[in-house]
Amino acid sequence: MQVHPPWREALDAFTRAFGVSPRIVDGPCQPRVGAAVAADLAAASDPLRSADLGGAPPHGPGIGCAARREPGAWWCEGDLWFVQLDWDTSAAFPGLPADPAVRSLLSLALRGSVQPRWQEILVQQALNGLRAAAQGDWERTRRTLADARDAVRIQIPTDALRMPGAFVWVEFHLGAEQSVGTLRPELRSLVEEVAETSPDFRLIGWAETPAVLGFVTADASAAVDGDETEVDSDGGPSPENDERMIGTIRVRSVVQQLLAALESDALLAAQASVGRVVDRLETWPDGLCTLVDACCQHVRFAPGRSVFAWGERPLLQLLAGIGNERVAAFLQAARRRGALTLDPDMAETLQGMLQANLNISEAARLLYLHRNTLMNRIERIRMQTGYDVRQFDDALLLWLAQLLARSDSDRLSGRPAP
Amino acid sequence: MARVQLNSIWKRYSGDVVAVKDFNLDIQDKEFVVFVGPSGCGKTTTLRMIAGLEDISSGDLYIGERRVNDVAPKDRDIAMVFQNYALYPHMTVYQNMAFGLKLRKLPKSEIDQRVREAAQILDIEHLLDRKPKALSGGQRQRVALGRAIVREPQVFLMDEPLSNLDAKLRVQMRAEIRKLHQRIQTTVIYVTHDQTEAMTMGDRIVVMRDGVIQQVDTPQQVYNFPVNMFVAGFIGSPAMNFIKGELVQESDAVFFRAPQVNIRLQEGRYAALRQAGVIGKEVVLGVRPEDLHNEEMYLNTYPDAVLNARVEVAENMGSEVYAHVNVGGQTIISRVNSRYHLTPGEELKLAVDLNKAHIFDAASEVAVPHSTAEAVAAK
Repeated sequence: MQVHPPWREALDAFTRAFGVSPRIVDGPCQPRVGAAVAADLAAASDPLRSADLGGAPPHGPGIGCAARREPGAWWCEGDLWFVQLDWDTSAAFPGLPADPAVRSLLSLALRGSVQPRWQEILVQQALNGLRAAAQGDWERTRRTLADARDAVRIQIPTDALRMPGAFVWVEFHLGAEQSVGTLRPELRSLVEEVAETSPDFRLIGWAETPAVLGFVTADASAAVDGDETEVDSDGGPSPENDERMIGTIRVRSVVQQLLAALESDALLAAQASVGRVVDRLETWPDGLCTLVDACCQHVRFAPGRSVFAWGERPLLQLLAGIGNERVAAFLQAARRRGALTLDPDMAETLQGMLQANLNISEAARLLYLHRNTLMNRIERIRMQTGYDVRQFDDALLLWLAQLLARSDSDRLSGRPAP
Repeated sequence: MARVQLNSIWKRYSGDVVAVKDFNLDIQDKEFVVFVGPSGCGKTTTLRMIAGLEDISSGDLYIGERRVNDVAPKDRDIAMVFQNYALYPHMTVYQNMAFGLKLRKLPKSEIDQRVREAAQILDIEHLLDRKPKALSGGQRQRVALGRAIVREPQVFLMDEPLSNLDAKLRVQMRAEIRKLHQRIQTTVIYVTHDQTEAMTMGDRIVVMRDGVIQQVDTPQQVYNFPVNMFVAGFIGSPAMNFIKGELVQESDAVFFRAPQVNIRLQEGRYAALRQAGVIGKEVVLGVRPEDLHNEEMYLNTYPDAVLNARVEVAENMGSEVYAHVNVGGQTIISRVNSRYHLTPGEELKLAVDLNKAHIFDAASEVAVPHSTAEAVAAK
């Protein structure tokens, strides 16, 4: 059975009514997110919103697409009238009546027929989740994402995302260009070209952060060259013969390769958070939800890591689930013995002691310190905080307090939401 | 080709974490400079700031005559080589090398010319049609270098490019990269945590720790005249021996004393020791393993600097033996000729080559110059 695009019915009715023969023009138009998508969603739900009859689109051209127009927008080139049928397609009308009211009929019909693209909705949902999570409202985050599918009646084409796989949020660090707030069009096209080289990575859409939402296929049967699972001092994974774990490792490897390619070819620094591997298309809200969870843990607890995958550090997952009030109560109790803020040398000393399993000589070796210098630092930590990091309980407590105090201060200092 | 200047560069992260502190360095055109230090010392962060992949919190960075703090990475005319080769597995070597140029929309003929020239330099012309999977580790690394070479950048930035290779291949590639540098005559900034790599490759090496430059000099100078205990301990394998003790003045002579150690220092060093104000204070004697000798000639030359040691372990390296010996309760290492067959428990006399011994202030860990002239030169 032949499947017609959603605008076909409206266009056919219009051509029959006015006896015109439009020519369909296919042209790529990049997906949009953020404010532009919000406007689209509003427009889709309110077809009687002021129709743009031949002028510029109401929100102006989107980023990265100089001549982007909303479905239903009209414009004139020479003696030809064009109408935007959907985000990718337009139609040219030779000999169209000059009456704007005629054109508005088709505009209204098209705006009623065209739904936002599934890619845009997914990106928007990820952003909504991230914003809710940044405000510490985890319940709302979950609700937002879990309800997302029903709310927008989204239909992801069955062949769009090759399962199993995981959602990936890649955030770009623009350095000197950060003030621009968005990725310049040529950089976007660089990223897209680099992304295209990865057969397992599907770029879903852009956010204005600037970031991209992508999906990485986790083909567990594929061999991964040079895979290394990072094992951290805070309970990282031990490679298990578990399909999901293998899938995560595979996704991680693809993402790492993508980031390396972006750095070396596009000279763009980026960090990525990876959600849980989902094996069926129906479970995408779960994949997106865990992606938001991973993004939050990444920002709070491991901001220096280039790739952070959901579930790879179970302890952080546990800590992330603790409410702000409980964290504040814990920190208050921990501060009873002294100030918890450690200067970089002291923080490094604590980390070194933990890495060396509290063995002074080994820690001194790891930190390239003389044993006596290390002893001196440990004493200074004890004097300041009241915790003796030679004792397991004290070292663990101080480390936890450091971790939570840092994320607490990030929250209090109004660290920008993703 | 370009000079790279870093003036008072700082890198601060949120939460008051300082990764790089007041970094000042002037890298000359065509120079091969190596940043070396333990993990977390800020060497990669500094390299990434030069590349533009990290913001500079404060300070000025110049490449050539241009201040590039606010210049996008792709416009800085640099190329980076990473530890993970970042090769595209489904592309051939030719396509891998051409990809960066294709992204820059260079004409096909120029891409072809550059790729073939780079392949010739690296001796990988016969591999151009292969895919990365069909290459050995060393060949992949050459392709990664080729991807950087084809860009014809002003500055090459290399971030631990040999870390993924096995020890034997690493030694081979070290020499290859040096040869390559001589051939293409471009400024290279190379990051490694491996002091051997730093010593063997750099025109100058920059030893870093906790985001601070400890010493910048030629490899030989850094090895012979480390400015502090950190540099002394980091550069050299096996590491320099440190013996904690005290400097004592008796009549006209100055002695280094520690449990079972009594060394009369050479008169030539007294002025510098006095100037540093370390006589009568706790100090650390630093001696490299190769400067502890069990041979008669040295025992006769330095009769006032003989240590009575007991062998704990003898590691036979083939050409030499690393003797782990106990002196007054402290374990130190001596590199002795392999013709000596040392057995655990054996008593041994070791002479300290006083011309090459170092004195460090125990509190500040800073080296005391060997002479006042050296102190003036250091200033």
